[in-house]
Amino acid sequence: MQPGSEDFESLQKLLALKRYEQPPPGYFDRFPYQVMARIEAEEARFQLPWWERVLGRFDLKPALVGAFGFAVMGVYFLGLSLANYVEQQSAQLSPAMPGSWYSPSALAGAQIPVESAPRAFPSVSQVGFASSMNPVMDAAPPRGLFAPGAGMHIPELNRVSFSVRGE
Amino acid sequence: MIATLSPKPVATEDLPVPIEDQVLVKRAQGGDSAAFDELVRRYQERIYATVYHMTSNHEDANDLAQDAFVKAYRALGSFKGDSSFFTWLYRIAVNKTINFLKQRKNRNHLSLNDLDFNAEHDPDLIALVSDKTPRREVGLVELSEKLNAAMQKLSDDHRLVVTLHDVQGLPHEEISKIMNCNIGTVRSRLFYARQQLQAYLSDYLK
Repeated sequence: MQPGSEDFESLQKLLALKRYEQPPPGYFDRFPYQVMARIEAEEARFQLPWWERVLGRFDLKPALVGAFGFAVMGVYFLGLSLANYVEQQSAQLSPAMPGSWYSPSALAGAQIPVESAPRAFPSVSQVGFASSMNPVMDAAPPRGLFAPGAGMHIPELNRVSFSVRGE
Repeated sequence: MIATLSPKPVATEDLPVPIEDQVLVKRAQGGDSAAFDELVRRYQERIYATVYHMTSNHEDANDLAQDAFVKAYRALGSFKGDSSFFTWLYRIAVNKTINFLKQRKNRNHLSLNDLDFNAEHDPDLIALVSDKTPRREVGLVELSEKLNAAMQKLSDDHRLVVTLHDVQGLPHEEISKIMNCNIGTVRSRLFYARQQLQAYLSDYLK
């Protein structure tokens, strides 16, 4: 037969060969049980409360549980390192304000009189008493939000608490 | 007992009487799992065979055939009896298979079933196998592999038409219901698919 001719008799005979391809012996004896077992398992799963179904999904996907665990640990360590970083930064700032921080050049754009900015923490005797309610660094009255030079870029340190030693 | 994949073409007259299916479906809709079990036993071979001939992979066919029956059970409530249960079930299996094949696209791993012993005694197949082949059995296995490889070269729609008509023996009208298209489309797809297959298998056709 020439390819392209419209007589498909030989082809149909050849296609009949596919009918002889058979699954492993006993396959169709087991098949209905497998289907019914899957249906019953699904029905049992839908009868569970929602939280057990959620947990059940994790049971089926250990990789998902592992990934979730790693994600939680990652967030924890990130938080921990950030906390350390912030602590180190505040430790550098708290003992005494570095001169450059309050240098005239740094505050030039802020239009704050350099003379009014404190050079270091005032002593307890200057302030009266130490309290988180009595911020010692910001002795001057706070500037308004829309005051000239005010804004997020102006560093302004408010000490919230400190302890008094040797009194 | 050795199960075979529809050794005889399935004609509409061979199908179970629709009323029996309807009774079983009603019972299954009422929660009678034994009735659904009976429906699974009734159609498992045809559903499996369709999916298998579409995928040429036993493992995929097993999963997809099971999925089709599980989905049919879950969707039984929506079955109104507008078409026969057989057509409705076929549609579910075919849609599942086509969706699967779209995802699989570039993975054409064949996992073929063994040939039934009776294939060696089919006079039509004997005639097709070359006389020069030392062992007829080897010739048939090779022929089966070539045939499956050629089938996989067809588009999903063309392979489905050939499977349902030339392998499973369903009439055009039934195929048009399953594929949700008109009979003319079924005929033209069948013609084109046969032409393609004939070209791919020209060395094996006398």
